Amino acid sequence: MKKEIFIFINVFILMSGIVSAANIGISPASINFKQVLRGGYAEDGIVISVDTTKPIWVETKPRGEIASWLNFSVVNFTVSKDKLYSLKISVSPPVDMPNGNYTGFLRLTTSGFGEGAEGHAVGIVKSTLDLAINVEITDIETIECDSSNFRVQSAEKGDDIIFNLDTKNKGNVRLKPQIKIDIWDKDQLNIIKSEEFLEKEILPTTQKGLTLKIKSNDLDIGQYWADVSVLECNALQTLTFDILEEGALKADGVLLGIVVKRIAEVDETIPIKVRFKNTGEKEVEAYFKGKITLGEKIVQLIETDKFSVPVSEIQEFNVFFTPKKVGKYIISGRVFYANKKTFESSAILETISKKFKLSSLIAPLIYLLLILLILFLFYKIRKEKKIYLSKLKKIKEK
Amino acid sequence: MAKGSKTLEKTFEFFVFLVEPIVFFLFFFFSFFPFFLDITTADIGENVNVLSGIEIGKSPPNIRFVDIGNGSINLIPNSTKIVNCAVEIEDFDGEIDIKNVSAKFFHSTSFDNDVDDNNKHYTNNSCYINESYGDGNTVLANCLFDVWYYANAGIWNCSVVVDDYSNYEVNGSNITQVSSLLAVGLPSIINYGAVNSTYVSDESITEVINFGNVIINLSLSGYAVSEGDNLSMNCTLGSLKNISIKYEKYNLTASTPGSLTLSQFEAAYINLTSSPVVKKFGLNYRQNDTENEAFNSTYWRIYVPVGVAGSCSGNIVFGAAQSSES
Repeated sequence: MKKEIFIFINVFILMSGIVSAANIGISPASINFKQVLRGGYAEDGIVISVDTTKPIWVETKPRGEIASWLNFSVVNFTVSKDKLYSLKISVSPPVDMPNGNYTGFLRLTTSGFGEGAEGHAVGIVKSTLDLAINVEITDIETIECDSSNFRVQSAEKGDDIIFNLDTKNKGNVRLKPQIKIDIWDKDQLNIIKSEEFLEKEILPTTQKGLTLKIKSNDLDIGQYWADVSVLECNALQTLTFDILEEGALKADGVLLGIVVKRIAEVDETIPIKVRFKNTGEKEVEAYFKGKITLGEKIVQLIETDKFSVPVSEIQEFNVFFTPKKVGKYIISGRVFYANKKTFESSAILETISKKFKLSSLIAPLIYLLLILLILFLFYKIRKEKKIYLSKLKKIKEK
Repeated sequence: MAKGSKTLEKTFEFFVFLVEPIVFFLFFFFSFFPFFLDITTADIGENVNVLSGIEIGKSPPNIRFVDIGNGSINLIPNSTKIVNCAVEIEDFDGEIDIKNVSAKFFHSTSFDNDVDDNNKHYTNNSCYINESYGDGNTVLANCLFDVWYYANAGIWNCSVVVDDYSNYEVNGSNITQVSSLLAVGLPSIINYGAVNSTYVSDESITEVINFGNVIINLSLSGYAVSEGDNLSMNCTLGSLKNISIKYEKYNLTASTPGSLTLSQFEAAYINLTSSPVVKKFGLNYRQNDTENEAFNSTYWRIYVPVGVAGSCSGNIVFGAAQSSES
């Protein structure tokens, strides 16, 4: 009974609005900086949220043995439920720190909501959150990075060809990525131009968008392919771009995919759909050219009719294929359009032997029944013939 | 009579002559050429019309992607966060062939078919299908989940099932990270009421609620006007006008009801300090979906010394930090 009364009082207190008007939260609840070099750098971010739409004033203050190493993007800010706040925290340990693990806090304090009461002793509650920050200091250098989001834009003849990519330094030393761009001809047979770039420093744990420019004066009008490689990150991406005539509308398209059933039976006729989207600035005439292989052997060559594809439209090229053997067929090819070709795309079709179906027995059964009926008729006719002939014989004898 | 029987005999012989070969013909025909319908002939150079039997069946829907957004999911204290599992679906029988999209969002320690639990498993049986998205064969299904602040931190899986009217059912999934959330709910004031000089106030009970998804410890400190002033309260009247920090005390585990003398008060409660002191509070996050059990009571009293009168106020700083048990 006592417990029930206690719970009731608690619920009453909670429901009566005595709890603070805003509850602030930080996510994640702690940060670990691993393998930071002495005199090095590392950064991470936290998100500060609150359960009220009213803007709440928040103040940050570092504490603990690593307080002097910590830096923040801002010290004071406001946050509301509709507008979460992302705070960047970085750490720069001194060069003379011994290896080891160090701990500190980032204290986030909100302004108190309460007020004093006349003639009463009142403690105004200030809610603070202590974000635990752990730093591991090391003297072992690690080089690790990731490159992604490679892009290139087509250029008019004479303009620069602009390549973009993002590189994240995941190691603990500053990184100057070395980037190599090889430009291939339309058929990807010969490298016609090659350039190397040494980019600006990227701090550990940070990401940087890189922009690289190549002159297009010595390139003829047409389609080209480019292999962009970042040596430190062991990353390579093939891109395609056009050198356009001045003022020319760009023809561009994407092979969205080859759609086919994943599993089919032998002798089943399978529709294959190839989807191409015109992403350029003018209507193009396009067709799909590809092949179907089983192991090393080409079992069927595909070349569809040409279709006009308006700007922003998707064209489907339909092909039918009847696999004759059990196995894994690979359907691959490209869409050719406006004297250009898309990246190659492929799909896999796995074939299995025919399943036993009861319905497949219906036709043979009908035939069997017909044959049996004919045999029966044949037997009946023979029998009747004998009876008839014996009757005739008797009549003759009479 | 003989003439009649002869006529009958001739008629019968003619019948047998006619029927027998027909029956024989049919027998061999059906026996050896059961697929006679497919047989066609043509001379060289002539076109052949073949009655072909290609039957293009219905195609299953194809899940192109399941997207749960970039980066990790940051929960909101004492509230829900809408998580959208967006699914792009293509069906070559047309978008109207897509019958239903359902999804489950669950923690890595849970399974697809587990019952719903706000800590680790959510279900949306009917995702919103946006047919205006893409072309006539493509839709975007938005599977929304109201994820509570006390959902377990870690890897979560969004598992999607698409059904179409051609009786196909296809599955897709993707994973995301739900971040840990440190949040605490506190009252705005601790009111000790009207307390006479040289008396200890009645006990004031203050609830500390865990509004996050990690176990929390508390750090406590206090000041009257500015941090580190070694005072708990500043008052409007009296010769001293201040209450020392040592006269404001707390107990994080046990209540001591009734009126207390100063010595009893000092024995049962712990001094509040000017600098923060971390206490092992071990307040777990909410596990019960129907009732919030993630709160602990703290017990507070203040002693008012001689030389203090009027209205008094001070600041109590409650600091929440993630416990190493999380």
